[in-house]
Amino acid sequence: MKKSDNISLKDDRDLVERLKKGQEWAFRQLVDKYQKKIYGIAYGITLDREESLEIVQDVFLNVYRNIETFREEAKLSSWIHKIAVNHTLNWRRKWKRRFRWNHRAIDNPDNFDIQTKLSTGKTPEDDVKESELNSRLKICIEKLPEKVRSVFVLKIIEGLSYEEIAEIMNIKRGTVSSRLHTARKQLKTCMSGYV
Amino acid sequence: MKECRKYRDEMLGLFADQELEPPLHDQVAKHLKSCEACSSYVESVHNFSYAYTSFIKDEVSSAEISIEQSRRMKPEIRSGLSLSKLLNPVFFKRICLPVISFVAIILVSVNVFNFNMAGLLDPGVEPSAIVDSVDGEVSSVMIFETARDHQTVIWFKEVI
Amino acid sequence: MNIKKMSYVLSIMAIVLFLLITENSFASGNTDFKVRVIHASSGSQYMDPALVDLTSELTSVFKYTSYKLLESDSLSIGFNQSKTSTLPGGRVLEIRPVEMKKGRIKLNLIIRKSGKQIFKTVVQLRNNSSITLGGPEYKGGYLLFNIFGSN
Repeated sequence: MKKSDNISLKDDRDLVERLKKGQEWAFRQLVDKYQKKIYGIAYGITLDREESLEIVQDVFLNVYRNIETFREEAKLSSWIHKIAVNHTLNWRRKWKRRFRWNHRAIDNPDNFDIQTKLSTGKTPEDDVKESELNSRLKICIEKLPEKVRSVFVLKIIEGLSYEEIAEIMNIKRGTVSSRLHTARKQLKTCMSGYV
Repeated sequence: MKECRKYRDEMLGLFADQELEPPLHDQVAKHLKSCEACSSYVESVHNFSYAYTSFIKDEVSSAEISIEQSRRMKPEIRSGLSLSKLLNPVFFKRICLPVISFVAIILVSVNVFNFNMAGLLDPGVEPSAIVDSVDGEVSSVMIFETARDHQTVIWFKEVI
Repeated sequence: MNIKKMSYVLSIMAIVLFLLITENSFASGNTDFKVRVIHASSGSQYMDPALVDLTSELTSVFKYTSYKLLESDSLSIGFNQSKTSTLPGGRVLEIRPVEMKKGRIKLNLIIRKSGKQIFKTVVQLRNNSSITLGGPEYKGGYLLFNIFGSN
């Protein structure tokens, strides 16, 4: 294990201890340390900014509520990874994603209805800003099954080993390998001419 | 480019991810030096990784991640109270616990068949509020229950 | 599981059972209510830190981007008595707990405006939980009233 890993582990153990004691600044530290990581995982799977922001909040609430169950011999980052991935995958299965209630503009108070979420939530400005490559990449990633996307995110963005990914997703190492292979094969076809 | 059948793409992926054991890793590395097809595949794996990482990093930096959970901490975090602290006293452990255990055995055997355990066993299934009636100068009423905590929400529209 | 641990577990069970069994017959005279008045609107993005326990639930139902706590009021009310809480826009919320039954507080909630009854509901609120009512239009958004009850 690298020296930096040792320091990080020690920091995390200290952080967990303080979280269990209920120290307020410990929670702030936890948020500062992990919010971007969790957002990256959530966005990598959902490809939806709004949902990802909600998932981040949910994950932290979950961590706070269950910190007492965290076994200190485990790695905090792995535990948080697990919660983030499971939360993200479960989020999509829940009804609340299908029944997002949208009010019309205030100047039309009589138009009062429920709408399901139809668009990705992007603005025209977002479209302008995104490069052609990113646009194409997003389309191609969206075509990947969620379980394949999850493995891809954990490998490419988080840099985890196959063993670590297998443990987090509760699958076999061979399954990690085959899902990554599937992702790369599909992306290669979809992105031909771009990468 | 001539296709190479020496190593499957999945194997090359394992190589790119540094997941092969040293002898096999070295074998593949040696092969790549002379095989354009395989080295091109490994390069494409790295290119995808780079493109995807940049894509996600761009999104993470541009998203407004404005969570300040620390300011929303509930009182119980600040107090740092835990159940174990309450149950530490020696008196409680040596005298009260055995007495309470005996009482618990009696209570469980008497009450488990009489008491309606539905709410206790799965309180999360019931809504926070059961609505018996709704009335008023309103043009519409909608009653919702949130998925996770089963919170009841009543939405009404006042008649203007 | 050793005897010590079993004693620990059984003692917890006894306490829980005792509280549940006695909850109905020994419901305390007064019920404590906490009323939070929330302004929900679209446009800006804001999550009031004081609403952390509600935010994810509210956002699962509503698509507003801003939730701000306007007022908070605490009331202690006996059964078959009522108290009121002032709401924005000339409104008043009247809360009247009627009885406690099977772990739920039966209560009447009435919203009045300029003395006139606008909305009334009779609910059975689970002890130590809340209900959210909404929403009159108010200053470019809508008002939500979260009522938490504890006996």
